[in-house]
Amino acid sequence: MASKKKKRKKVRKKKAHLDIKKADFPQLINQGKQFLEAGRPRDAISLLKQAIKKGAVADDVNLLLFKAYLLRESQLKQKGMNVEANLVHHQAYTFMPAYDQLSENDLLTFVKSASIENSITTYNKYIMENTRSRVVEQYLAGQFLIHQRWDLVDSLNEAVTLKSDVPTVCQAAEFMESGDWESALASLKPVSRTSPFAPIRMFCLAMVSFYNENDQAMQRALAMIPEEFPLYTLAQKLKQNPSDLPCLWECAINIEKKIADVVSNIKKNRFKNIDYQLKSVGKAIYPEDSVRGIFHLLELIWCFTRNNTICDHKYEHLIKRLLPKNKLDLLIGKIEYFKFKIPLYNTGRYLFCLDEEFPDPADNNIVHALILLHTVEKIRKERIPIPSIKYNIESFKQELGITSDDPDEFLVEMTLKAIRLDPENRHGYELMTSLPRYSRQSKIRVEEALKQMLDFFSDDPYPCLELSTLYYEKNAFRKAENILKEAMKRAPHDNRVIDRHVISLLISADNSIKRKKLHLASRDLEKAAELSGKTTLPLVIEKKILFQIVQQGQLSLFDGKVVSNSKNVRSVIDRAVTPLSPFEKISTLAMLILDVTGGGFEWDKKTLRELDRAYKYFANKIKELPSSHIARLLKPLAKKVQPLVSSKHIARIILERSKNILKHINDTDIISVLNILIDANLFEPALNDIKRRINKAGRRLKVTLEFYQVVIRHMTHELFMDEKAFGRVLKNVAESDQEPLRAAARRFAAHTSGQLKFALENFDFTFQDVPIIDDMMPLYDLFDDDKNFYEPDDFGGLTELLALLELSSDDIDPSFVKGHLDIIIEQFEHVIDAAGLRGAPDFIIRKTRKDVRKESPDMDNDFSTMATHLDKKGINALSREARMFFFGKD
Amino acid sequence: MLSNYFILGLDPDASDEEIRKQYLKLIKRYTPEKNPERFQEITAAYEQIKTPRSRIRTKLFGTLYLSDAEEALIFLGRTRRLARRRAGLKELLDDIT
Repeated sequence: MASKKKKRKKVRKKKAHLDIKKADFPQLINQGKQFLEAGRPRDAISLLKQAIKKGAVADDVNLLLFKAYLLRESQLKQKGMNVEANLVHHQAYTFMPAYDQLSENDLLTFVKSASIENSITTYNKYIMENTRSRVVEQYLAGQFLIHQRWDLVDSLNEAVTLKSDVPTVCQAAEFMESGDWESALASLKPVSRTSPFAPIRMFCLAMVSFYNENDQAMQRALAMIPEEFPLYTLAQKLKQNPSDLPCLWECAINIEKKIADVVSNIKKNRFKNIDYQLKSVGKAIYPEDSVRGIFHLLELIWCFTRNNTICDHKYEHLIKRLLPKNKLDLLIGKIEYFKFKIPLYNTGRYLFCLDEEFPDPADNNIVHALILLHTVEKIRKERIPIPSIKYNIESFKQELGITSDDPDEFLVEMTLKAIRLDPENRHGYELMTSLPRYSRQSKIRVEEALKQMLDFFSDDPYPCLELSTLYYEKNAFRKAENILKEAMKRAPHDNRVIDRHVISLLISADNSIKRKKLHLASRDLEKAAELSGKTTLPLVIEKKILFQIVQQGQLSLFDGKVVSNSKNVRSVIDRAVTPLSPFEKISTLAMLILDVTGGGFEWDKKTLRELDRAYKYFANKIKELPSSHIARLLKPLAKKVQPLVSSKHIARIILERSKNILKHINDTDIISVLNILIDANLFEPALNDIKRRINKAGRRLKVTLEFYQVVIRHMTHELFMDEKAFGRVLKNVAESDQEPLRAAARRFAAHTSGQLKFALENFDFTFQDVPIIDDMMPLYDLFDDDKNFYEPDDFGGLTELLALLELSSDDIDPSFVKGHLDIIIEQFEHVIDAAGLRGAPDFIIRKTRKDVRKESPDMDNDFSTMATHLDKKGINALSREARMFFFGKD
Repeated sequence: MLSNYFILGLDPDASDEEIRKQYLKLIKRYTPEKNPERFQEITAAYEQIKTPRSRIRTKLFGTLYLSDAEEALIFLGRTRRLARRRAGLKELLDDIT
């Protein structure tokens, strides 16, 4: 078949050869023209040469041969055969026709393939015979610029006008070389639109538009660059796709594709080429320090382990291969810290190698502080019990800022360290004030932090307000009032400051009422009423009612009417609560009852009955309140209000008097309400409501309620380490749905102890025999012989109390006790704080009391002796925890 | 995250002053009326790196709070391309030959 084709081809060639031999020269010239037009210059050249041999006039054929050679030259150049193209160009030159016969296009074609010197010579000769060619001059102008051959401009014919623009363009060319396109454009301003250099100006305008990311303007400017101009190809590339010009971008242009390849390989778990790819991308994104680039990429790739796209060990191998030892330790430290499995250890370890990532000391301090605050916040948010994570931190204690051995102090100490490192970080102070501070040491640390904040935020009333709360907690009233004065100086119109000032006045009034100094109380109440806004009005009214009841028979504070006796309690209340909303009325009455029953006064039963009646009257409207309002009603009192009353748990008062209130709570609010009830040790109403609700609840809520039920039954000792009960609840709960239950368990753990606490903390209800770390009773604080135990303002201290206790019961002077009642109450409360019993459930306090009595009978005797000298007034002034601890009952 | 710098067309070691200057320059060019998406992108990136503390926070916890690593990686590649580099005429001509 192939030989047949060859034969046919041979025959065709022979026939064509015979045809050419037979043809005369006009036919050959005609045929040559046709070949030239068809883009077949080799055939055209062959025919045209035959025509010359057959006698054609050279002048007729030369122009055609010239064109054919130029065409062939361009074809060879396109193929990259430059040497051959140059040879052909020389041949074309030999057939160059006379200049008067040369067209502008032919000249341009010739000039385009000639050297710049030849081009100038040819053009000079051309314009001797012809008019000037605009396109050729534009081309030459471009060539001068590209080759920077400004020296050749002088060899141009005098008639060529582009010479006048050369100095301007020469200066612009320097800017163009350095990439300063804006200056280049500015310097080209004198170049006219008709100048051969005008396309250069358009190109500069296009480049300026490119850097201004104004693509439309760039396209417009590029469209004005003529095809004949030497920068046309570049302009076309820029017009079509600037991405094809890598020099215009910060890094290798195919980085997006490279990263896409990396991602694809990761997803397919192909790690064969990934090392090379990551190194390449790392260098591209961070050419100065490729390891830094790789580190960043590996950090991002770590995220793929979180959704199990890559398994941990493969990722570990990858980072080991790609990172040097120091960076590897840093990345592992950082990842472990993010995983947060052993929070304190992981934090310490990451902090240990932090210098590697943040070598600048100022940055390092900020980062150190941020990490500590993040850890504290996360531990708090996730309710992670500190005793379970306090191990293996010995070597990192310095980094963590931990000096104490008491786990309860860890978070406060870490936050304090963060504040010391970065005192301008406001969040640190806010976190510090939100941490529990039961012990003396904690309070001292919080005080230190807030005092530092006073200096760093000199216009901010926040530290003053928080310090006042702290001082009220410590019963250091004078300090609290003084710091509030400072707050008033800093922000006299700030509502927070005004509210706190009102509360401060109410505390002062409350103390005056308790001391029967009613004239002082009246003055403070008047001031508080003057200052109070919407939020504090119920508090003022509550204290005014209390004052009015105490002051029975005297002039009413509300409307000037005389209240003669206890029968008028109701009328006092009715008139006082008029400006309040139904919600506020109920909460004010509940707070009043909490206040009245909390101690300080001996109330006659009639008055108490009147109060109850009044409450019930207003509480009838509870059912009209939305569920969320009722839930808000049950919430513990805000921290700032707590010094006004003996207990924050207002829910107890409300539930005792409005037994059906929980029926009005929606399913959406019930869990938060149950949490409130559990915090207030109100287990019975919580259990009753769960029983009532559980059968009608949806699947998710039902599981949660069942879990709450089992836990509460354990807390009330109805159940004891009942693994099966927990098993029944949890068997149908998928792992992914367990998180709310885990969070609830951690919350409950704070109210429990022993095996149950351990089980709740770890969400493991197998109740195996494991060593229990019970942190509920740091009683060593109780007997700490630290002379600085109490503040100087606290009148005495533990030493004085112990000195009193050392006396036998007969030797204690009752008048001494009476005269120092406030001090004794204060010291008792300090003991409760130091023992970590504030807010603890009754059974924990009872257990602690039992242990103290068992371990140190003498101490128990001392407390009992002291307690017997307190009269009813003194006992009532004690908190629930203190009464429970010293007397064994509330 | 490096992509924040790339969006603003900055070097990852840029100073406070450089970051601010570049941000002001960009929001002048990409006003919220004309180019709201780009404006938002620029502003979000600037917020992440405008102060030493925010820069550190982003560098420290950027990965931790990342919801989609794949998107972040691709974005890194893309935003890097958006940073335009100053090139001279010779470089441009070299690129096309």
